Amino acid sequence: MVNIRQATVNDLLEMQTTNLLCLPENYQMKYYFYHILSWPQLLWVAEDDFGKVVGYVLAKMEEDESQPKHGHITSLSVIRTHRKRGIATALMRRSQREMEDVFGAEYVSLHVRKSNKAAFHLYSVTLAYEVNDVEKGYYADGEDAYDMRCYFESNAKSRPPAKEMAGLSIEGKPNANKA
Amino acid sequence: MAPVLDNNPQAGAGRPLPKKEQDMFRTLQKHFDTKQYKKALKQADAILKKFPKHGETLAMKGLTLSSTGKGGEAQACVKEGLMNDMNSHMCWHVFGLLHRNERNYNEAIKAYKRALRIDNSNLNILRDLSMLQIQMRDLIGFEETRATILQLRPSLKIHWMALALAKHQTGELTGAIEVIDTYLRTLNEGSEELGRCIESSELAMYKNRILAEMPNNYDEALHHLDVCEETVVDRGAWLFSKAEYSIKLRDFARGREAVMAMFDRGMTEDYRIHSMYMCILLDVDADLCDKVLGLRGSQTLASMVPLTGNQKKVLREAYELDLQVRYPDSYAAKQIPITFLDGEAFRFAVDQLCRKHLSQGVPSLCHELHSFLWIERDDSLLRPNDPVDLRLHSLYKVYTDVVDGFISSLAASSKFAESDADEEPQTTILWAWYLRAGLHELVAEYVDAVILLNKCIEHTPDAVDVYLLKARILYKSGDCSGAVECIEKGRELDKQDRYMNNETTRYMLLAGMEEEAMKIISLFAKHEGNSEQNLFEMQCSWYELEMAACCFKKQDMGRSLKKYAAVLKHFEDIRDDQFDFHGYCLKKVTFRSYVDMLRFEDSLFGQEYYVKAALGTIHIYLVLYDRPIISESDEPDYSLMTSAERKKAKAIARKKKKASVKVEADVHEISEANGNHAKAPSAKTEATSFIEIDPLGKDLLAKDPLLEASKLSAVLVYSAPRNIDSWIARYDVAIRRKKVMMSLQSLYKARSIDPANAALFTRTVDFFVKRPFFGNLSDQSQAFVDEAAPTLLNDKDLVVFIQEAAKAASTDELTALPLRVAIAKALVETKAGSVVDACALIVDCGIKSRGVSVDTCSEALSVLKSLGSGAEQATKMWIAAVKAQFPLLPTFE
Repeated sequence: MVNIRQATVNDLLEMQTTNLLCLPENYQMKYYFYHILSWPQLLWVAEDDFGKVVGYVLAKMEEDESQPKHGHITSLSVIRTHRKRGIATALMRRSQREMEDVFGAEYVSLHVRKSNKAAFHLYSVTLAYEVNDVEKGYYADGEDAYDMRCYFESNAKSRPPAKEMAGLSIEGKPNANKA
Repeated sequence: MAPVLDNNPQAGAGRPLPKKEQDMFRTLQKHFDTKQYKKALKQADAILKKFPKHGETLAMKGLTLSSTGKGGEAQACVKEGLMNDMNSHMCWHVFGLLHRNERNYNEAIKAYKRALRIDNSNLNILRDLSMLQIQMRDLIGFEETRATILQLRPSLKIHWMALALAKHQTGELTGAIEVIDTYLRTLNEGSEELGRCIESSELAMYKNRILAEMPNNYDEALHHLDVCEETVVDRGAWLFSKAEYSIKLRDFARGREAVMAMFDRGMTEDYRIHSMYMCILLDVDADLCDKVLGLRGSQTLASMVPLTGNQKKVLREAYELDLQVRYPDSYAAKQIPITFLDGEAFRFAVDQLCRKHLSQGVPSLCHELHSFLWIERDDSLLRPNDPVDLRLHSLYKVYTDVVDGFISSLAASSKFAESDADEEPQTTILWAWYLRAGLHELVAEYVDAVILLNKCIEHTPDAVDVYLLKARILYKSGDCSGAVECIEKGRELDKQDRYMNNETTRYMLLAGMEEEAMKIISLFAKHEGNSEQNLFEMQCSWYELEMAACCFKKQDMGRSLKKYAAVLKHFEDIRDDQFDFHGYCLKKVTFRSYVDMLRFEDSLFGQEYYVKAALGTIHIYLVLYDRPIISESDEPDYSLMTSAERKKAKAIARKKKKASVKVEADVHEISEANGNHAKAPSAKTEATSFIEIDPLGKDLLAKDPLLEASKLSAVLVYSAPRNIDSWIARYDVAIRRKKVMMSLQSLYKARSIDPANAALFTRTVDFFVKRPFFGNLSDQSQAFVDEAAPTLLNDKDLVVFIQEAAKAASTDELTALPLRVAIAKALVETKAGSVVDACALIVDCGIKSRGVSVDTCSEALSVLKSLGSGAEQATKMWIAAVKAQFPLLPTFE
């Protein structure tokens, strides 16, 4: 069983540890503090039965006034030993719901590595994100990122008409084993 | 004749610059404020050309220099400015700012206060002072300063917010509420801030929290929630508070409404909300409600206190007939009732759960099954973790029966049961073996587990999760290199997975392969230069702690200290990092999180990583103190000396060492300087310098070991007082410093945490063995020791105390192995018992007791060996018993 709840300041160190264990993109504690002291409702954690943090979502509101109000997923990860339980989906849904309700976001955006098929599957199929753009060399190691978006029905005023996926073809079948 | 100097700005003390330079000075300030440092410096130099001693210009120049990373030059400049114009508030302010940048917060506060003496209504200085006061937790001072600021500028919202916050922090809850209310009354009707938005919502919920903190004030807090409902956009928090207060006021109908509304919002997987739901159904007391809200993981009210049969029935019906119907997608609603099932119903639920998860291949299934096991002890429920307790648990057998049944059926017909209609996919049997291996692991049947995992690998060689589990089990079996080999195979199968990379690194460090470990972790950490530096910058404490432990095992004390120091440094940085958030949160009004942050920072050095690093450091320094190992060859053997001789010899050794270190340091400094000139002029980051300076920890080795250990143990007992290891470390330091009272206090505190702790037992005996040699105590201390000490021995003689402990340990066959070993050692050392008694305590039941691991068994072995003649036979028996328990252990002798 996994306890999905809003994160508190007391969870940040464990979130950082989880991030360092799972992902190549890491942040100093100050960045986690910045998130929770700005948008506390958007940070969620998954605890295993024994109370250990095994997954988290770190998210924020973009403050660029020139764009419509929207949230952004800074980082999401679930420790390998706790996969296949829908934890990532649950965390994302919670954070997205608060973006929509608390901050009136019209949509949420995120970046995902082009090669990360499991994550792409989660976003595009399970959570209904669409590819908005490709950012060349977004990651430190030179890999490209998909810039993806998911519009919220209740707030989506600025949603553009359905457009082609910027000429992208998605190769290969997502590897379900890694989801 | 009038003194000419009077009109010369260089004479200091407030003489004004001529008009032209005044304008230049203003431009200088403007440039500084807009971060155009080069231009600012140009202006400053231009003024100084004419008036080289103008204090405020010197100060501003210093401040600018400091912002461009020229700390040393800045210091000199600011100081010179201050000396030239001690009556300028600006000079003092800048002096304070410089201290602040250097993180000398107390000095900065002093400087600001001097500045305010000259200009007591300078808003900038007051604001800066208040930030330092909250940083240093001078709460009273913070409140005073914020009150002054508000008086000076009552028109700004931020000043009202700050005063409310200050009053809240000093415990003036009513005052805090008054400030908020007064502010809200200053707003015009229809003002945006009174409407529904994030700022008003945050403020309302903050006010609500203060109301709820007032004693017996849930009524008012609940009423306030109704008042602010329309303003609050944070519906989740609003509902949570509503449910909580209602339950505490025993208004269960209202509480239920709020709980259901939270479930409707999709918060069905938050177990604290389920606990509230149960509190409502079972009509429990308010204090129990407080307790369940502090639970973590999947623990709920139903697994916190033993429930009656009737209570279980009520809950079961509510879940099965109501929640599961309403929220068919909720995992929690399905799983929680398993906690209150027993007998056939429990078996059936487990059967269904396993079928589902085995088909899906969920690796954490065993973990989940483990979580359903509880032991009742003193009116509360505990989760068993020791293999001995798990083996004895009545429900454990249910698991093995169910899973064994699946395995034989799956092997025969690819179905969970013969009668099933559908066949399972190929992978199901793999996950059934995997689960069974996990169940073996719980009860320390490592060989059986490995056999099954080998079958898994044969079946599906690329099942990465299997390698993870197998590596862990091999490690627990004492086969470290086997664990490394196994995890490395798993890593090769999925090189993109950082978790596998990290686990490989960890097992390598546990196996003492630090070079290889660094290479592996660098695959993910190197892309920003030096990987050690990258890991330090990213505050990767787990790695640094493992590396420190690895170096310690190899007797590389310097490098070990250095890695522990890195972790300690992260926490100092985290403490200092909060500084920027004081001002930030005042603007954002995210006060609930902010107050949580203040509390978190207050107990920061009680966090697990810090405590581990501090304990590791203390341990090394004590080892060094007991037998210094600094210069391998020319160090005398202290153990052969009297204490006076030893002291003298140590002093000489220390001097020698200091001298040699100094030379090395000088050399280092020069080469550093050269390096800097050779390279780009960019300022070195703090991280670079931390990693590059003294990489082998020689400076750390040169420190006074007992002093360093003493400092850290003081931090630990303050910040982690509920951790018994803090007090054990405190004792170890105090007894070496001959601080009798402090030693005694440490033992008392440790005893209040866990009287059956083996380390405590050893220290207690140690104290009484050393007691006759304490020397002169003051009469008062002596009287206190005479009165207080005996209770540590249950008012017995030391010998009787040890004998009784031995008797108790041999009567209860589950007495933990480490305690048995501690008692055995004490028996022989104090001659309270024979070698035979001591051996029997370890050998007779030791291997079947609690706390058995490869490490504790090795410790037992070294104690048996130290007992000398009379223990040979027992030593052989122990080796045989351990080998039988851990057949995969490569060597044990």
